[in-house]
Amino acid sequence: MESGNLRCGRRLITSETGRGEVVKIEGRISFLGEVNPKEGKLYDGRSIKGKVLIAEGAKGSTVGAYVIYALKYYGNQPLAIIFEEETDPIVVSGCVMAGITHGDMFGKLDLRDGDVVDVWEEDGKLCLGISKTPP
Amino acid sequence: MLKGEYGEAMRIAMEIVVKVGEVLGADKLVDISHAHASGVSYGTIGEPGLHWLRELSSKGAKARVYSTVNPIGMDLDDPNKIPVGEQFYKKQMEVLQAFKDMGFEISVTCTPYYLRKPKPFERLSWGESSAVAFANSVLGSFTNREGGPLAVASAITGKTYHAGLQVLENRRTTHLIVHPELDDPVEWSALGYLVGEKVGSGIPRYPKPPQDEESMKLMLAASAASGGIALSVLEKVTPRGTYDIGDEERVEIDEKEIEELFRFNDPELIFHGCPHSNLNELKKINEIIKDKVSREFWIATSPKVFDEALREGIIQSLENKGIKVVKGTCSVVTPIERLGYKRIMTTSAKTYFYLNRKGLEVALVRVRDLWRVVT
Repeated sequence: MESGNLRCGRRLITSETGRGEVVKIEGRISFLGEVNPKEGKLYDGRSIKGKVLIAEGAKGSTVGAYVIYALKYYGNQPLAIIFEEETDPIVVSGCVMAGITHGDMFGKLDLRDGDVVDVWEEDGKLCLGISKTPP
Repeated sequence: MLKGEYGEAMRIAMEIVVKVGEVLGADKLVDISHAHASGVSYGTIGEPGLHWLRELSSKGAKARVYSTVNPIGMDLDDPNKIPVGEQFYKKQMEVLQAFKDMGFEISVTCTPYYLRKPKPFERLSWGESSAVAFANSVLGSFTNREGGPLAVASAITGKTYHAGLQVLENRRTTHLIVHPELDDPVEWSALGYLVGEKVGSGIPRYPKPPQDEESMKLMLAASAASGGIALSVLEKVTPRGTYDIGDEERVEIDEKEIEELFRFNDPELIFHGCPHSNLNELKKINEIIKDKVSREFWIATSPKVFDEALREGIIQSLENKGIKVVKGTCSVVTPIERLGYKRIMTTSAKTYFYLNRKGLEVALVRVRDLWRVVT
């Protein structure tokens, strides 16, 4: 994604919007098992607190909704959860419970960790705009 | 309701149901008659889950339909029967209190169909995969396999989304199951386990299903755990009109695959009651086991069946033989790995599946062979 580019997807939940750093997961994320809500980190050590979490989609246990809520409970929630493909009911219920901005069906996003994006709602869609890419 | 004119709790609950429905392509919401919440063990939902339930409850959330809850992480009455520790006990009771305040019946069982049997075509919103499979497959009721929070949201709104297995067109078989003659309920459980592994989340049809409810229950629970199967069609059992026959792929399970799940592993604990035992099963085990047991043997059941069995003197008889009958819990939701057990034998392939994943050494034992293993 080049500077000034804009991509919109389906808006499911809008809570916080604004600017955040990207954390990108290759493939699908399982909130139970791959996210530590107490520390606000992925199990590979990357922090997701206040970040724009981008993944292809979700997988895994129905307890996932409580893990997403736990991120909020411990004050470690990401700014937004963005999926390139379709989301699942577990993540949707978790994001409603936690009040975390969530959108899906953005298509393949060519973004990397550390890219900075703006997240906002427009015409009932959730949009991502790149504001600057560090060198 | 989404605007909050029925209060904040109703707004949150409605938003969960509506948004999930949106994602699944639902065209409308439908009324349900019974919600059953999973995610009730403190061990599963932890502090955040407890906090969410308390918040809802303090915002005045009340169940609008008959609502029940899944088992908890310890014995309902006697905290020393399964020693989970004081802190766990305290927190678990707080979870139950939150459900109680919202008007849920503290059923603490994975077999809500023994409390009130839903009718064919009746719409439900049930968590607990084994109960979902039983309701859809044996009773012909309509329910999706709901996550914990969604079933709570359905209880509060009295509604669920019209998608998935709530829609008749989606209740179409995808696989035909061929298997050897089976006899013991645990052999059926093993079959269900293997079908779940092979069919994934499809809809299998069994032309020669088990004839007794206990075997059906064990088989369906196993395929819901290993594969996520929420509906199986059991020929001459599943009520007509609640399903359709689709293009079926033939799946064969042979004797050898089933036999591999059974072996003797010198267990420290033997477990029966997943899903929870009914009165029949308790009576049968009481007949099969005539002497004092020499190994730790637990049977899990619901408070309702426990009380019935108590009135008939069965609990006393089992306990005199050294068998522990636990109430409102089971080996899946209790923190069993922390209690120091390593080798376990069980009559449930669902238990087999979950305890295996927790790293324990597990094997199946037939009901008719139980006496050999425990004495």
